[in-house]
Amino acid sequence: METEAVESGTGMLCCMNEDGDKRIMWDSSNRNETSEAEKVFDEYKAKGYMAYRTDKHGQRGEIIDTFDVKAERIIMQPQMVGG
Amino acid sequence: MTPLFAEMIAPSPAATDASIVVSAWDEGGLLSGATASNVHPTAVLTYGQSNACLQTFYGQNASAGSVIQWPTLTLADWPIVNLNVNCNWIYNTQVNQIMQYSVASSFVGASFETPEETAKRELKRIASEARAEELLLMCLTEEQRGCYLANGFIEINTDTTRYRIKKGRSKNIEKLAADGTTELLYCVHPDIYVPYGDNMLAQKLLLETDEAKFLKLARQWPAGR
Repeated sequence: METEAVESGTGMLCCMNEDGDKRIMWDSSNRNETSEAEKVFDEYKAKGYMAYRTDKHGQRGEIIDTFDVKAERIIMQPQMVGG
Repeated sequence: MTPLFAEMIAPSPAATDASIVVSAWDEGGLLSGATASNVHPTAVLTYGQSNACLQTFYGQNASAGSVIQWPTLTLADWPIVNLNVNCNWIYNTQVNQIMQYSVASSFVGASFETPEETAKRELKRIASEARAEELLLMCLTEEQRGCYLANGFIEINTDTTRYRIKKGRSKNIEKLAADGTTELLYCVHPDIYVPYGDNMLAQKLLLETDEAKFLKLARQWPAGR
């Protein structure tokens, strides 16, 4: 099966929780690490979490619906409600 | 006569944690404006890490004199000091009326927690807050980071509006006028408890990526209220 070539790089997935967050790092050239990160991403999406692709410079994030192996950083947060 | 809060609930004798039994109901008044469609047909227990982030449990088959076993709230999950019990509306199946029980109070149950458990919980809370603040700082621009470290808030500029997010959980977002004064206060936050830093980051990301959704979700108040 043909797979898309991915440039090597390190990404970080942060899923907010009551302890702060769960963090998963991956090297985009390491299939095991990217699979683990994607699995966690999907688990939190199934819980209704929102996912944002951000960069290391704090610029405006971008909503994503699927795991992006090339992302520098993915922040996942619970659903938001009015107080 | 409305029963005292202490008469309404009592720690379960057999419990080793903070499970609660509502042991008695007493007469109450009719809840003004309520209909069967806008109340839950049972008593309600809310609990959580803070009043801004409460979970809700709906008891079953509440009726005068009934005993209701509330969910077991472990100290690890929900510190008892923050437990909030609210039993002020109930559909009374015996008299077929929506009754109001004017009982709503924070239940401070320090006796359920040893000093060691309190210290452990506080250390955990401090570690969680530090981790969340670290993540927040990683996700700010250099300018926002400087502002947060100096003032304890960050500012977000959308296409039309400048917002200020203060350290906090609820009602901590301000819409700023051109002269920097606060016009409106907003309240929107994650639906589960997360530390302050995470809360502020969640608010920032929502505001920056979907201001319309933010405005749709958020409750708002005029400044000064």
